[in-house]
Formats: sequence, structure tokens, C-alpha cells
Amino acid sequence: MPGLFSTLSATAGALGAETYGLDVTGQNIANVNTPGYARREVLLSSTPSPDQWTQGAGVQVDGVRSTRDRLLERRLQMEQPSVAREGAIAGALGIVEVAIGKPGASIDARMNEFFDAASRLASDPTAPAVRQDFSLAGQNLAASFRDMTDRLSVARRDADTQARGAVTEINELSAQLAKLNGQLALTPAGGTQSLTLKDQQKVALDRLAQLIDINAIERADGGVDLSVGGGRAIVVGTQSVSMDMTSQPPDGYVGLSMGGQAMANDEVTGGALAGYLQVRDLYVPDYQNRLNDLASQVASQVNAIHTAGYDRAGTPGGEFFTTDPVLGAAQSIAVSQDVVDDPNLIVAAGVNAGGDNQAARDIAALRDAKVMDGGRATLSDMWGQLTYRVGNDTRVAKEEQASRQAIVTQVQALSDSVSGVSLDEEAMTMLRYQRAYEANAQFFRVVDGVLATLYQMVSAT
Amino acid sequence: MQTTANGDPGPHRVALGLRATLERLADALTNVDLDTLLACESEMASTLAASKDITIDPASRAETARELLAARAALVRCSRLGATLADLTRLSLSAHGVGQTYGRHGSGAGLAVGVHALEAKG
Repeated sequence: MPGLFSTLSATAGALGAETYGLDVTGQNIANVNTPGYARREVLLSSTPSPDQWTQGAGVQVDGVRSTRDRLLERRLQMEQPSVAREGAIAGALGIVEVAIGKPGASIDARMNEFFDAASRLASDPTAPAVRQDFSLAGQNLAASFRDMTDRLSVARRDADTQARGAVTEINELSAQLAKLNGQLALTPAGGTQSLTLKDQQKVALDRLAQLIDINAIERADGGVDLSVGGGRAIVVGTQSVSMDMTSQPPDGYVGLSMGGQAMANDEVTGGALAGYLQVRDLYVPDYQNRLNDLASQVASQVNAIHTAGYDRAGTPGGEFFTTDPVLGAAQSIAVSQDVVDDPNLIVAAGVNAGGDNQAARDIAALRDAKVMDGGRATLSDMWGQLTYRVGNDTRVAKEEQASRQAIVTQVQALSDSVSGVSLDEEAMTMLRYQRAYEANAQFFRVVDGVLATLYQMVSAT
Repeated sequence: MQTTANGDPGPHRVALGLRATLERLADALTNVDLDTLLACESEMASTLAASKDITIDPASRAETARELLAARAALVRCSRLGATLADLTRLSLSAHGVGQTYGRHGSGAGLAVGVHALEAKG
């Protein structure tokens, strides 16, 4: 028969379990905004009766578990590198876009001023003030090319600096995860400490996934082994392998290696690090090449006219612009020092006759001459194409980021909505969503066709 | 849907309707909003039905082109988000040991749980 003491003991045990449950609930509430924290649940069971006359000996705490959906967590970690990569590209190119300047207020404006000065020179080819004005317009144009080159170089340097920062953080996180692996291996599974370590592991993994695309393999003891870039291990058990950084000639940009073996850029396909490397090695160099082509054409076209004409004294002209092929035209373009020192050396005449202005008119006519892109574009058109390309690259990166972020938001919402729901209910709910989507998707092909038809209608002239 | 003086809805209004419906569908997929998801089906059907026999409205040509491009972007977004949803369902059901024929009474055939490819990376 149950005695008073056994009843009190069961009641005390129940109170202890309830108190423990309240503690856990308090923990959940306190950590509602803690990154990586998963809601805890107390596992209770009835204490077996010691004899056949007793209903039961109360309740006991079997342990605590956290409610995690590993599938959705893995999915989030797969999407995060893409979001972070596009975000890094969009952020860096946004700065380049500002540096390029608005239409009509950058190199295009300096080119227009230069051609305007050439027109004034054609109107009054012997006036010293007009010659000085033409020389200054040329110097301003050259300076704007050099300034733009510097800005693009700074953009590359910034991307390199950010890549270095990302690698440093990757190394710190991989070391932290290796340390967590060691702690998890020594901690009993299901204990409160183990759950806290798993929370920390999730935070570190999420952050790492934002920096670089990772492949994670969960260990039996709750730890995780990680590899990057097509199978290079960065965390194996309690060991982490650092990504090494070395400055590469000629620009001193960082090169990556692991275990003494160089890493190619295309091994890093996701995460902010991939974005920074792409900006540094693909996007900005492309803009620099286009700027170089433009500066080179400006110099060669003007020089071709200038060297074929005659200066104020009737002497055959020299080069108006000078460039250094080693440095690149955009970085080195300048008005010839001889012309700067003596504007009388500026060529306005096409023939050796006093007052002729043919060369000045030819230079002014370059404004509308299609000398770029195989005779299809003017110098200003090429600048417009460069600014359009920068703007378009930025827009595409922003749209990609938004699109992928929507997927992350969707997975996150699903993760939140299925928390605490039974597996059967979860499966049924997801099926309803899928069926509802499929019903809409049946129209997609028709919608696509209607859109194409409408576009043809409005595009027809 | 409003119509033009000719009685047809006009390409601009059709584009506006399609874009609005697709944007709502994308939002519903992003926010996992089942009610809106279901409502979009009939909206899209009626918008498509209204798209027959339309004529060009020269006055709103540029505006219509912009709407069409935006509608196309929304369509791509819907496809991408829908593919993710389908992947998640497939993986969830597989992880639970049931197939796509799973119903309220749990009649689905078991699926081997193995390595799955995620196809919605965009």
C-alpha cells in the first residue's frame, strides 16, 4: 500500500519535474532572439510503480531535446552561399557604379568639353587663349581617364581586402568548429551542454556558409566534418586546415592555398569570398580593359590627325597625347609635355598655310565619328556601353540576390511553420502546398506564351 | 478586368493582371501562404481567359513592355520558388519513408531514403 511518505515523494518528484520544465521554458523565452538557438523540450516519463498496489511513483525527467529540422537546416546552408556571393558582388559593384559617375558628368562630359574646345580652335586657330583652352581640355580629359583607372584599381583593392578578411574569418570559424567537435565528442548526447554546443555549431556553420560554399558531413558524435572547393577538407574531427594567403605578383593580390597546394578561383563557387574574387578578377578587370581600349582610341585617333597637320609655326605636328603601353593607355594618358609647355605646338592646320583649320575640324568631328567597335560606335557610345555594363551587372547581381534570398526566406518560413508539428501533419501540409503550386504551375506555359505574344505585339513598329 | 473602348482588355491591362497575379503567387510561395496560393489558381485562369482577342494600344506601348518584362521576371521567380517547394516536399516525404502518393490515410508506397539531388539552386 502506498504510504504518506511515498505519496509526498512522488509529489516532490513531480514538482521537481515541473520546475525543471519551467526552467527550460524560461531558457526558451530568454533565448528567443539568440542566433542558432533551437527550442528545447523536456522529455518526461512516469516513474514505474514499485509494487502492484501503487498507481505510479510520479514523473521523472528523462532529458531535454532541441527541435531541429536537419533537412531544412541543410537546405538553408546550401542556399546561403549563393545569397552571400550575389550580395558581395552587388555591394562591390554598387560602389563601382557610383565611382563611374552619372551619364554626362564623367569621362563623357570631359570628352564633350574636349571636342567643344576643338570646335573653338577651328573657329579661331591662331588665338593663344583658344589654344591654351584646347590644351587644358585635353589635360582634363586625360586626367579623367587616369582618375577613373585609379577608382577601378581601388575597387579591385577593396575586393581583395574583403577577400582577405573573409579568409581570416573562414580560418577562425573552421578552428572553432574543430574545437566544438572535440567538445561534442566528450559530452553525453542529449544533455543540456550538448544542445548548447550544437547551437554554437549551427551559428558557426551558418556564418561559414555565408563566406564559402561548404560540404558538411555529420559525425556520429554530433560533430561535423567540412570540406570546401571540390573536396578540400577544412575540418576533420578536431583538426582544422587553414586557408593560406600569399600576395601574388604583380599587383600583390591575395592568392589562396591549402596544405601547400594553390587554390584556383573557380574552386570557390559560393559565399561572399567567391563574390569578392569574381569582382576582383572578372568584373573590374573587364571594365579596366574597356576603359583602356577607349583611352587608347582617343589617343590614337587624335594623334593620327595631330601628327598629319601643322602647328602655328607651320612645322609638322607631333603627338598630342602620350601613353605608356606598359602601364596601359587609361592609366598613363597625358597631353604631351611639349604641347603643355608651348600651346603654339598644337596642330590646327591640315595644310601648311596660315589660318587653315582642317586638323582642328577633324578632331572636333571625332565626336560623331564611329571609330569604335569595328566602325559601329562613337567614342561616347563606348563610354555609354561601359557605364551600362556596370549598371547592368549591378542590377543582375541585386536581382539574383533578391531571388535567392526569397528562397532562403521561404525555407526559413517552412522551418518555422513545421516546428513542433507531427511528422504526419508536416507531410500533409507540405503536400497541400505542393498541390496548390502545381495547380498554378499548369498555367505557366500558357502565361509564358501569352507574355511572348504580347511582347511581340508591343515591340512591333 | 476593365476593357478598352473596343471591348477587349488591351495588352497593358492583361500584362498588369498577369504581373499582379504572379507577384502574389511568388509572395505566397515565399511566405508559405496556402490560402493565397489556392486563390492564385482561379485568378490566373480568369486573367488568361481575358487575354484572348486583344488589340494593340499604341499609347501604352512602352508601359506595357515594362509590365511584360516584370511579369516575365515574376514568372521565373515563381518557377524557381515552386521548384524549391517541390524539392522540399520530395525530400521531406522521402525522409519520412513515404512517396509522392502519400495521402490522408497514409497509403503511400515507401521510398528508399538515399542521396538526393537538390534541383532548385537556380
